[in-house]
Amino acid sequence: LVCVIQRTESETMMGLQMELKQASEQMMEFANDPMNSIMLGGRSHIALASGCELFMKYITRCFLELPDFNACIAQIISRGQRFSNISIAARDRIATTGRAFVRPGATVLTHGWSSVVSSLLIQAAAETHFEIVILEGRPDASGAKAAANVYSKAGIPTTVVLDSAMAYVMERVDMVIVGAEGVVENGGIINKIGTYTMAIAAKELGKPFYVAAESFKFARLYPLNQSDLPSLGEHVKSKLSFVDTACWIATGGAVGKKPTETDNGKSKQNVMDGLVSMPPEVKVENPLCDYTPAKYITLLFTDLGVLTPSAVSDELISLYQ
Amino acid sequence: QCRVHSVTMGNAFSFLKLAVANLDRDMESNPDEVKSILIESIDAYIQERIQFADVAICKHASSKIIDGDVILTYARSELMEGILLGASQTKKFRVILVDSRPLLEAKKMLDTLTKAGIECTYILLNSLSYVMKEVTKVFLGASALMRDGSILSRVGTASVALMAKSYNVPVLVCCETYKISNRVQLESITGNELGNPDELMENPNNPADSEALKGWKDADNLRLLNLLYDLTPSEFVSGIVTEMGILPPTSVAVLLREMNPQESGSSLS
Repeated sequence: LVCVIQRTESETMMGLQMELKQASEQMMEFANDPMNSIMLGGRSHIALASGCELFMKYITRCFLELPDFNACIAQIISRGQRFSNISIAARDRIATTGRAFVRPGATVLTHGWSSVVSSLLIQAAAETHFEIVILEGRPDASGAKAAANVYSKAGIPTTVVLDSAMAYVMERVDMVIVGAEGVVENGGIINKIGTYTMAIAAKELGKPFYVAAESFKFARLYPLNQSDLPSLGEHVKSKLSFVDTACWIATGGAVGKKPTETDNGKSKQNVMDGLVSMPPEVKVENPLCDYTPAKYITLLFTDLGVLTPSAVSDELISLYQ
Repeated sequence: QCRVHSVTMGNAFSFLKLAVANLDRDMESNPDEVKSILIESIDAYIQERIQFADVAICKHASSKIIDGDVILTYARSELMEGILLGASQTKKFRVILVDSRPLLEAKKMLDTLTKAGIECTYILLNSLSYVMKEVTKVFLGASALMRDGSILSRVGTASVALMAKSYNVPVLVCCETYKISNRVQLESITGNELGNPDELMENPNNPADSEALKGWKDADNLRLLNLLYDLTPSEFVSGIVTEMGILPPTSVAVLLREMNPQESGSSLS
């Protein structure tokens, strides 16, 4: 967005705002495009939307002060640069404040792949010894990938479990730390599917539930329940394949092979290959994100400091004032 | 018998006192000018804090209404009427109106909504537990908003909110910011208004019943209590719709600080 400002030819504030709006809409379209959303993991569009909105609010605040447009543009560009630098530095600031919460010998449960959470945990690993339990993270296996590529390389002892084993392991962890796609007005969060379940289990078993998120993810959304979330990539949602890994192991990896013809000409399904094919009458639902209400969240680690969920609304009011 | 001083009257009066205090000392000699300035600021207050606020609230509340919704309301609030009438122009939903004796205020709202073509169901408070499972959202009005996010509203509102919470139905309270009070109340009896107790005695459907309580004034150990307001705790409220947007009940104190600075400073209300 800063580049758009630098290249703008418009002479008025309104014109500039129009161009920025168009640019952010194009970015949203790019994110929602089927091919690209698979690349992005279909996740980031809430953070993108709130980031753009906050950016525009932040830079346009100055236009009331300066009558001369060109001076204004120069100031806007410098503010824009500062905003993007702040956002990048936010992750480090969160890691610094958050790592103190990880006590030596603790077991941390986490979910999905969040760059904020991983930088927090890696920084914490530099000073204390602790272990991580991470959920596999179907359908994109983000948890398993994070464990394999990131946490193990950082030298943190990691255990990967099935998503369904989450409540089973909850009793032996000391805390839960997750990231967020978006933080909503009442202090709740929108995150990868499964976060809500984890929060409920954590509350029930008395484990603190921490969220690490940068302040540009604070969105002006107020979901009342799960069905009140903004719709995300319908096309990605309905694709889900079911694999029977037990069968796969037993048959030595016969997953995905076409079912072979049997004697009376009918092809047999889900016998040898581990892939379970769904007949069309069966509906498959694959929501990508869920909404975790504020009452399950203990604290949020943000670049504005460590906040309670009710303080998020306070911050939002002052950010958008 | 005077009615109890309401929160909104108190807020408006504080605003007026502030406006008077801000007047230029030199203008004391010109009473007509003073009057016209004060009248102007009162009109501005009405326009901004009430009329424009209502328009903004209608917009925010309508964004939460979707096709196929079953919306429950209690008693009558002009703001609620406006929201539902406005939303009905673009969306298809139905409304369940809950009413209670002795005021039976929702009848008027029923009239207005059905004339606008909205599908309505009318029940009394007693049958609330039967319909609550069909309800998707509850919209309530408020007389005042306490600083901790609890709602002072028509008696019976607390029961509706409690029932909604136990059925996991989101409760949205629509309230303009001029109704925010610096007070925190712990229970419903404090500062409540008493209505005419004889209204409890009368049963228009069955006049024979009215005879039963006729001699209540003479009976030593019988009192009829007709409370007009009750307090809904903030735990039962999912969100408060104000002209600033939809906010959690925990943010009311922040709003008080931003919107009514003359209220938040004073320790006496």
